[in-house]
Amino acid sequence: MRAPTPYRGPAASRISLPLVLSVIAGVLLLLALLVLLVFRPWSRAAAADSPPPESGQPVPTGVQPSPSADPAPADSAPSVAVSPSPAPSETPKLDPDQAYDFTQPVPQSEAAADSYFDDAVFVGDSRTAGFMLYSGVPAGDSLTHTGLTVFDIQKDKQCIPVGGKDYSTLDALALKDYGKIYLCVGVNELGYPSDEKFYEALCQVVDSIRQVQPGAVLYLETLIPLNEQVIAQTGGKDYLKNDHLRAYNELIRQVGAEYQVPVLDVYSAFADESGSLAAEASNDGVHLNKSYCQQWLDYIRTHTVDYDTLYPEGDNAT
Amino acid sequence: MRRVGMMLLALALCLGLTACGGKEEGEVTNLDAAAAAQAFVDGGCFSETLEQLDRDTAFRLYGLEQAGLTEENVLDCAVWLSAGATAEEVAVLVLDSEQSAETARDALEAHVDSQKESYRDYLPAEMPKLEDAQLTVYGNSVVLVVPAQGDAARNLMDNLSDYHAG
Repeated sequence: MRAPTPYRGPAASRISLPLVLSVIAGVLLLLALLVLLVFRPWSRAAAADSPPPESGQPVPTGVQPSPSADPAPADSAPSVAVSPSPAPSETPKLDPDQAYDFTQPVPQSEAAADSYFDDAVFVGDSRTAGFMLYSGVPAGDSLTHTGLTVFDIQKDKQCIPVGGKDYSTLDALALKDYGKIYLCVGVNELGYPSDEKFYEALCQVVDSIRQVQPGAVLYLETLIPLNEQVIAQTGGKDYLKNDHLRAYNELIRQVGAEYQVPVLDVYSAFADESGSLAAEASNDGVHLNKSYCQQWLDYIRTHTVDYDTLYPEGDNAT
Repeated sequence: MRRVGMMLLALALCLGLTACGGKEEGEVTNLDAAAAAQAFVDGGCFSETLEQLDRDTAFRLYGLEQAGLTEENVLDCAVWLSAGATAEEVAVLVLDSEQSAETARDALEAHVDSQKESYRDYLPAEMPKLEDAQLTVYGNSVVLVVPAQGDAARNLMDNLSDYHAG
């Protein structure tokens, strides 16, 4: 009589260990394949290996402001039609491993969301005042005055209305903390005899603004071109010339490089092949009408850079 | 019985006449802000094409909040401004009360004074227009015009009744 087989439970007699291990291995393999298909780590490795931008060292100081008589061809690029990206987002980040190149204008980026402007302030003359009225900018403070010049800011002229009281520009800026400041001055100064004085005043103003608002990104905007023909037809001032405006833009870029503040090349967004503003953009050749103010906003919205990218050490003082 | 019936008939007639009467005491006819402003824009008052301003921006531009008004006080609003070439503008504000209208009027007057300060040195050629600025309260509405053609603006100001709302 054969010895009875030891009892090993109801399933033990039908399932073998190799079979179980094979099933487990198959499931794990399928899960691994699924993870690879979803996250695709090989595409992220390719982006990280793209060539870095050029060195971000600023232009050495000592370059004297050039006189306005010599036409500067640097700004004669055709105008660029700017349209915002369909996917608005917070301020995008440039490559954090590369120092920001202050000699170059702020590059194009994804369109910033409306909330980006919650802590913005726009400082300038009547052109900026028009921008605040007609661009549709969703938020942001306006510290503007018709006829404002960099010299007014330098000399603390009390001409900026806030809450029914007139402040100097710097005192008005000191009333609250801002995340970004857009400064656009220079058109009213085109009639002044000394480009060097403009340059020196702008340097001082930039330094003063950064003392008042050390945590803000201060954007210098190049000057939007003029339409000299419309100016002449409407009896505008005869010192309003694009040649001189372009010379001022070179000075603005120089200040940006020397003081390490980002420069928005708004000029290039509006200059046609001859370096002029389109005739239909303005009733007087100077102040932009509503639709062009909206284009101005589009440019600002799609050319942003955050503080940490500009100043990774956390201190923007020179 | 007959006398009672006659009295009732007379009472009914009186009530009927009352219902057919004109404005009740205290009723204000407001302006149609858009139509009134458009009349100035189309009426040869300005030397350039003006840009229309949205309600929220106009509220901030004229300092109405600092003057003590809220956006709920402004029932209707139509504003056209120069983009910066001139000081020309027209603003028609319809407020919710006579008191609000007077407050808005004071705010617009302060705005004109501020414009005079700005343009005095910046664009002196615009000063005659600002000196000829016309500002009036019409019922609960306030109308401001800084015109290039003052006579055309005054003519329209005298005929604001043509632009009643409703």
